[in-house]
Amino acid sequence: MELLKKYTQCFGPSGREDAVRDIIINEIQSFCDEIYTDALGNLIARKGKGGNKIIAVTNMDETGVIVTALENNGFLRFALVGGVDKRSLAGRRVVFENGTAGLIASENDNDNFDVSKMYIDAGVDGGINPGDMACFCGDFIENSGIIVSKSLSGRVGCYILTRAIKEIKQPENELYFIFSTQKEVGMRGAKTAAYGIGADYAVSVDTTACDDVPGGESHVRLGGGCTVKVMDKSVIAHHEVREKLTELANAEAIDYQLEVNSNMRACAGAVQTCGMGVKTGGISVPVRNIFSPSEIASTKDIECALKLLKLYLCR
Amino acid sequence: MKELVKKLSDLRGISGFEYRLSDEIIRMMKLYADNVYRDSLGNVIAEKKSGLENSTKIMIEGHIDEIGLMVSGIDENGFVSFVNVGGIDDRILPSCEVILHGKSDIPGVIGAKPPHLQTKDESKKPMKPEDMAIDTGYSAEELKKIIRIGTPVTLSQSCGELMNGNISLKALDDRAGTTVVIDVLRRVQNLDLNADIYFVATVQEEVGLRGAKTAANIIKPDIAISVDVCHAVTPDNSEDAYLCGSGCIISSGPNVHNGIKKRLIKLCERFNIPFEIDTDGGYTGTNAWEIQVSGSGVATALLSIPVKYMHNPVEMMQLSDIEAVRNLIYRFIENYDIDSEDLLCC
Repeated sequence: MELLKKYTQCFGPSGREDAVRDIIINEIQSFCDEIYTDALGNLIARKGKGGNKIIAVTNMDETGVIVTALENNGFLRFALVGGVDKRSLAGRRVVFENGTAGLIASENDNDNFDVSKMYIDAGVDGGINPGDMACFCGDFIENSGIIVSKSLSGRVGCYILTRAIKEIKQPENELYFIFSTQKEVGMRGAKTAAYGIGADYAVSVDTTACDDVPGGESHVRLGGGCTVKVMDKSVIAHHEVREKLTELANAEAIDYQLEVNSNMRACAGAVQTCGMGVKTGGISVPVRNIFSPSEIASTKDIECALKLLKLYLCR
Repeated sequence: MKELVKKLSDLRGISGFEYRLSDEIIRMMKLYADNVYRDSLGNVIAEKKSGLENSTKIMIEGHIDEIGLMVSGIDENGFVSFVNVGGIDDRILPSCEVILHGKSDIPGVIGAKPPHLQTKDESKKPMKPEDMAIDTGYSAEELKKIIRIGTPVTLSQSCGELMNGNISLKALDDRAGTTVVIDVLRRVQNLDLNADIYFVATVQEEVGLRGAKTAANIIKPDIAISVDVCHAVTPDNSEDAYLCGSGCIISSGPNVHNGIKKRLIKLCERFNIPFEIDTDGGYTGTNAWEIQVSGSGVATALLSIPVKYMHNPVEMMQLSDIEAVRNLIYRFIENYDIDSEDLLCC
């Protein structure tokens, strides 16, 4: 899990994915036939030639904050980048690309979690400017099959795609691995990344909310296996892809759960409707406390997702 | 026409599950078109070529998906929880009969807490889907053999014929539009065409205009006409609404190409087709919105049929309005000639 640790702890809010992309390139370049980036910063790796053209897509970016104004005494006003749970903002630590760390604090009487009444106290004068982005801090902890970290959303997908690239030796299909940018601000990278490929099929590898906690109501359980997407807010999986995934999981006894979620979005939504359209489905890893700096995933679910993805890509 | 709209309305397929009905659409279209195919998203496209070189391409579309529900869980007593697919009005769900499309189709009902048991607070507020359940009569164990999480559910209402040429059906939005698409295709089959016409049954409109986008990218039309529904006058709403029986509602606004719109109005006047003009200041909420900005841009028109109780299982419509839209599109194609290309230059 050293690789997952490296991926999750890397700095990369939406639009500033460069550092994540660099470490991924470093990991995969000797295992691909072709590797390129596009105007939006998407990283696309091809492996194999001929057969079905299949896309595996995930995202590199994470949620964060962007500085909007500097105030006296070094306090920084900010806006959010991507969907962040505002209730837990105050008290969170953030870190800028240059390593400067800060703490989000709130003015008194801000009961409505109004972001314009919050500020970052970084204790610095200079070095940070409006437009600079920071990501949330959240250490990587591995504990008997459970992983806690920031940025598991997205980076778990990067980890699974990286391992698939390394472990699939001689693919009979033409595989395109897309590490997309700007998912957290509207699946923007995946839209352009898939455009020119003209794929037959696509599978997005994401995380999904896992609300199997006290007071929660989710049918998806942590440790219950990866999920096969039926529907989320961005996509209704193509029945051929969904049925193939469940068929493979049944045949190889991979634990899986069916995912119906009206709140989450996946890169699948962007890929499905780009250009002339692609038959698209999805595999997700259940994550508790999603979009918090302490997201929780199970190593078993991650392994299930990887195994199922590899089987699908070698279909 | 009446039989066609009844038949189409009785087909069952929520957004993303149109494959459950598109075989039948393909079968119907193949009677009148040589080349009928399904794209990656499931849109069904039927081509009628003019045989001319560099022919103008005209796309006529209506969407075949319907709003519905999807199973999200089965509890130990066999009660089925669900989520909405498309713009379902939560208030109309209690006491709806439904059909669950699992390994086989099974009927179910959505009950509600009896008035005797409701607290004062509960009786004042509409129920939320998460507090409702579908009851099939099956035990959880039996049920799990037939359905699972992700199984699509449709509202089971079937066709009712009312007075004065009115019909009440589920999914008139937009099977009425699909009816127009298929019936125009039938009528133009022996015409000498001056343009290539693409008749399209689009998918996933109700979840965000998804199918029309890829269909337009495949066809790359010069002109597109979307056929959808608009609100009809009811006792509780007369704003931005048209009386049933008004005929064809022709949209006007930024989503609509002015030259095409003017041509459509002229054709209505010439052929005595009843019509009214609707003004949309911006977003029309229809496939026309996505098609217009697809590729390098499309000259788009939007024709609507007034429907009462939109997104209820008892949507109500007058047959003469469907006919008016059908007649107008037929006349548009019939009268489209080489000179018509000037339309696009205005």
